[in-house]
Amino acid sequence: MLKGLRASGAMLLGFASILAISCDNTFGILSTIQGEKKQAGASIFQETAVFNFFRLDNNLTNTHNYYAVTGGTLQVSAVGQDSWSSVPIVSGSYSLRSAVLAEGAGISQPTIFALIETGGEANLSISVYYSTDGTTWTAVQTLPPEQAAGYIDKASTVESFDALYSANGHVYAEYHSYYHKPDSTVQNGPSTYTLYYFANNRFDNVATGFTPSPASDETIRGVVYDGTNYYWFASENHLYVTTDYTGGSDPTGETAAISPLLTTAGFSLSAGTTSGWSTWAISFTGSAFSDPAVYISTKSGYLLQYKNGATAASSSMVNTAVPLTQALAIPASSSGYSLVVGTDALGTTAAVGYYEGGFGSMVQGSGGSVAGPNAAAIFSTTVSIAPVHAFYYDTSTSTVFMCDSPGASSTAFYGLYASTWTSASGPWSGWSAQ
Amino acid sequence: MKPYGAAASIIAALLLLPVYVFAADLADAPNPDSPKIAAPSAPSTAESSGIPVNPFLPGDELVGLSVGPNFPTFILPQTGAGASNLDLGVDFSVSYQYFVATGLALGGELGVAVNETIASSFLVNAPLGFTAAYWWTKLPFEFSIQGEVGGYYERDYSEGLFGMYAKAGPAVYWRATSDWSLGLNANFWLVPELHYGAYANLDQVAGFFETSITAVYHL
Repeated sequence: MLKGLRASGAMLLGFASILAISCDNTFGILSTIQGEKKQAGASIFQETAVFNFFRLDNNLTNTHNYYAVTGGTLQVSAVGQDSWSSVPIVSGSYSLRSAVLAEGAGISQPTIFALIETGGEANLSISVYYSTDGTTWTAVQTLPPEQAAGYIDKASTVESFDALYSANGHVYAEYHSYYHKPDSTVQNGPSTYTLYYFANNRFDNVATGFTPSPASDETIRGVVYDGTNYYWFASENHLYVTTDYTGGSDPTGETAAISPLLTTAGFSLSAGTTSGWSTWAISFTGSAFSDPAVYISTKSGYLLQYKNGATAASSSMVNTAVPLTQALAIPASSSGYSLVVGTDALGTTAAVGYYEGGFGSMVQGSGGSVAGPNAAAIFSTTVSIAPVHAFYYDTSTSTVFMCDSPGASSTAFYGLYASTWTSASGPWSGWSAQ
Repeated sequence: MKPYGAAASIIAALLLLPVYVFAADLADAPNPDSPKIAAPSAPSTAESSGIPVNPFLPGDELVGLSVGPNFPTFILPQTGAGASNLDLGVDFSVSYQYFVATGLALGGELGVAVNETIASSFLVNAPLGFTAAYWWTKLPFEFSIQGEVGGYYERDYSEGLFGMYAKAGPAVYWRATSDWSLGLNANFWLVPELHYGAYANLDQVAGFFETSITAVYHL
């Protein structure tokens, strides 16, 4: 008998040592399983990253479409149809790099701008097209001069345009050049980035105190308009604020006006240069149910807020381990609105889905505690370990869309999810693959 | 409703066999008023195979290896879709038993059970338990009824929890050689997931019907 008891005891001891792993009393595994929802979205988004999403309403043709930007294509579906197809921007094959919706005072009607490449590596051509209906596309006639400059190695021009941004109806293009010797793949200097603005069917250099223009080795992180006065230009380590969408006119004065406010609130800004933190993304939340505010998402997991004009700003740590992507305000039952902000992967640091909640008290994707757009189970089985690039809230359908990189580990994961606010007091329907 | 109800019924019927045989053994047992026959000091063996007629004497040892499907039956309280969000799973275990009295063995079992969920996550349970079993034989068949209590480590969604579990059930084996028996094993698991403090509202209990093909080696 002792032999049997000894054997059992040894096994129990061994098991106890295995169990010296952390466990989480706050997480109900069985209850989470009960709340799971089978995801069955469009095959086009299965294991496919989606980087941006927007809705285009064309009142002339009475068409209302959703657009999703994947790595290479622009997908379209009529609102409410859930039937996706690829948008033919040009005849023949092309690859989409970026697409944005421009709407606001700076443009007569909402317009899609798309950055595409054609011709393959050997005969690469990069173009910007725009369309007000998603069907008829017009090419921008004049591209930035560096596009044709001789010092760019042809083999590397694939990197020459990275992204488009839009703010208050104005569109900006980020140009990215490698200092390569002609006909060589050897890099002869750091990459440089230049920002251009669109006007009169051409792109012009943003000629301002914004350091990345005309050229800088800093990645450009975006441009936003604060709804009333200022355009915010952000690169990784510079922030520039001005009333001029071209970035021109008296940049020194504008920067001086905004700088003390940012410094007082915990933003460290000196002569337009950020100090102690790096910008990963910039966003503006100005919907009817939220307090208009500019949010700077930092590379080090801080979300910085600037709101109420010149009176209030504060900073809040969300997660020091991950870069944060753009923030968005969505309805919430308790406080009127809730923020959602995605996380990105950086180096060996993995993304952790998104955070939600009030500014200063955000939690990781926990719908149960902050009445967010998901149930905990659905967060766990959608984007809990994925980068979330963007959110988009459609006020007409009370639906929030989430764009992510699902990876290729399982066909159960998608690049686009949606959750709908089902009544005046919620709750949200929970994430559902699109 | 899972489509494996019929299979579970057949397996359950098979596993009722030992109960029937046990009852038959009782009926065949000698009248206690009859003159007593001294128990053999060593197990007698079947003439041609060398298989002990009564192999379950004190000091005997068994090592078992089991693999088979497990059927999630319920999660209570039902706060969502219940056990229907769990697919048919698979379990694997190794066990050891030592006979402390004729037919009565004590031992332990280490196992792992995996069930995929409806959203393609995986629930993993790794139990380690203390087993008590009663064995008897009617060659070429052997039968047992066992109960087990122990601790488990449960994991899903990159989250892990510890807890206690209990399971019990019958088994029927065919004594293939003097060293090996092969058979079917069935157990019903109760897996409570308990939380303390403010998170006690997350307390739930799951039930699984586990069936296994088991190979037993007689040491």
